[in-house]
Amino acid sequence: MTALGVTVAAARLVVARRRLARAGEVLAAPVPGWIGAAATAAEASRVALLGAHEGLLDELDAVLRSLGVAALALGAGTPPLVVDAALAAALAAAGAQPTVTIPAATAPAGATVPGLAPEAVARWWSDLDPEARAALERDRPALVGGLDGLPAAVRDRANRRVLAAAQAEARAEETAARDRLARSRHPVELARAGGELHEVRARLARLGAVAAAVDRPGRALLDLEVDRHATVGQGVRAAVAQGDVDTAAHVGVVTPGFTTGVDELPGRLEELGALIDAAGPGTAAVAWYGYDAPQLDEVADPDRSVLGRAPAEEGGRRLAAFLGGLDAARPGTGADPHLTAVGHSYGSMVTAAALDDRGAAGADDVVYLGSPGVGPTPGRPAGHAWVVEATGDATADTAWFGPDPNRMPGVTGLSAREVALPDGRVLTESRGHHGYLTPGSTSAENVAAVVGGRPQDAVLDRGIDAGDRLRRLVGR
Amino acid sequence: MDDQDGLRVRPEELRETGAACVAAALEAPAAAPGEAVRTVEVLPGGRAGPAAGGLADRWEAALAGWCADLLTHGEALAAGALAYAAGDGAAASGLTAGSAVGGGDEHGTGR
Repeated sequence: MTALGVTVAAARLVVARRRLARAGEVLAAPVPGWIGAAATAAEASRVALLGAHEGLLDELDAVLRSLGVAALALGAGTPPLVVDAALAAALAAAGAQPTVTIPAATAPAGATVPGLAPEAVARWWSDLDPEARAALERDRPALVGGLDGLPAAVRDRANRRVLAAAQAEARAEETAARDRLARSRHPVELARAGGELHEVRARLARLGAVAAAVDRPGRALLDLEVDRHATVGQGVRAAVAQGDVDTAAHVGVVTPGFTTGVDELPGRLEELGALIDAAGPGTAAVAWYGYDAPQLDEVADPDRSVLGRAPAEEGGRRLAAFLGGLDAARPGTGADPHLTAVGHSYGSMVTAAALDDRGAAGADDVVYLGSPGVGPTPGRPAGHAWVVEATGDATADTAWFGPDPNRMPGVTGLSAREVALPDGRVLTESRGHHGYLTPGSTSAENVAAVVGGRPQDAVLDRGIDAGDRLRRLVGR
Repeated sequence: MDDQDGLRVRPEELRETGAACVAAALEAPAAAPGEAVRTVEVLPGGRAGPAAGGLADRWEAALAGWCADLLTHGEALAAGALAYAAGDGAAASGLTAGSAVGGGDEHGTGR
C-alpha cells in the first residue's frame, strides 16, 4: 500500500467516525425530570455508554493520527520498513479498551420499542462482522435470544445459554430460600420464606418444562423470558419450534389461551410434531408461549382478566413482532415462508390482535380454534381465514369478543367431526374445548392441511351446533 | 421504590428516548471503522497488515457490543415508559433489576 492507500483508508475512517459520533448523540443528556431508583440506574447506563462511546472515538482519532503520520512519512521518503514498524505498533496498541455491558432490564409484558422492527434488526445483524456476531452471542445471550429478526439457530443457541443460567440461578435461590425457611422462627418470617420457596420452585418447574421441551432433536428455543418476581402471568415466557423455521416452506405458529403456561410445552410439542408430519415435508411449527396468558386468579383484575382484551392486546404486540421476525430472518427476498398463525381459545384473540393494523403482515393464513370471538374482522381475507369449532365447546359459543368466527363472512369452517377417508383411515372427532390438535383428529388434520399450504385437502364444516343455535335464539 | 419515582417524567418522552437509542444502535456503523483499516498495509508481508487486521477484529467486536448495549438501554427506557404509562412504578424499577447472572456477564433472563 502506498501513501495514497493509507490516505484512502484514513478517509474511510473519517466517514465512519462521523457516523459513529452521530450515533452517540442520543446519549447527550439524561431524560429530563426523571427521578428515582429507575432513573438513577438508567443514568448510570447512559453515562457508561457515553464513556465507552467517547473511548471508541478517541481510539479512532488515535488511529487516524497514526495513518496520517504514516502517509506523510511515506510521502516524504521515509523508508517503508520504518513506517511499517511504527504503524504496526500504533495499530496493535489500539482497540484494547474494555467494553461495558448494560444488563438486560425486565420488560413488562407487551413492551415493544418503536424502531425495533424485525427487518431493521435483521439488517443490523447481517451487517455485523461474523466475529462481532459471535461475540454478541457469547457475551449478551439474553439480548440476542430475544431479538425478533435474528436467525433461529442463533436465537436457539443464545436462549439455551439463558435457560441454563436461569436454572442455575433458580437452583441457588432455592437452596438459599430453603436455608432461610429452616432458620425462620417468627411466623411472619416463616410465611415469607415459605412463599419465596414456593415461588422459586414453581419457576424451577417451569424452566424444567422448557428444558424438557427443547431436549429433543429438531427443537429450537426461539424465545425465553424469565421474570424472577412476576406480578402477572406465570413469569416464564417461551417459544419453541419443531423443525427449522428458517428454511421450512410452511410454518405454523400456535398461540394458547386462558390458564396456559410453559409447563405444557412438552405435550404441545408432541402435538405439533404430529401436526407437521401430517402437514407434509418442509413444514415447521412453533409453540408460542411468548405472552402472559391470563390466569384463573386474575379473572377479577380488569387489566389481566380473561374477560377483557388487555392481555390479548399485549400478547398481540409480542406475537406480531415474533411473526415479523420469522419473515425478516430469511436471507434475501422471495424466500418468505407460508406462515399460518393458529390461535386457540383466548389465544385466538391474541392472534387476531397480532394480525390487525399493527402488522404481522407476514402471516398468510389464520386458524381460530375454539374461539370466543376475535373482534369485528377475521384478520385475513376470505380463503385465508379459518375456524374450527368442536361439538360441545361452550367457550366457542360465547361470542364474547365479537361475532362467532364460525358465522363471520369470509371465514371458512373446518370440520372437527369424525371423518372416514377414502383410504380407510378414520379421523376422530374432537369434542369440547381442548382436543383441537389431538393427533389423528379431523381438526388436527385440517389445521395441518392449512399450515402445509394445501387447504384444498381440508374437510369443511362450519361447526354449528346446539350452542350456536341457542345463542341465536337468545340473540347474541 | 419511592412513591415519587418517575412521576415527573413524561412516559412518551421516555419512550421516544428509548426509541431513539434503539434506532441509533441499529444504524450505528458497527462494521465501518474495522472495514476502513482492515486492508491497511505498508509493505507486503510487513507487520502493519496483520496489526490492522487484528485491530479491525477488535473494533468490530467492541462496536457491536456498544451497539448491543445501546439497544438494551433503549429497550429498557421504552419498557420503563410502558410501565409508568400503566401506572406501574414497580415494574419500571425493572430497570434497576439488571437480572444479570454471573457478575458482569450478561445472561440476564428478563427483557
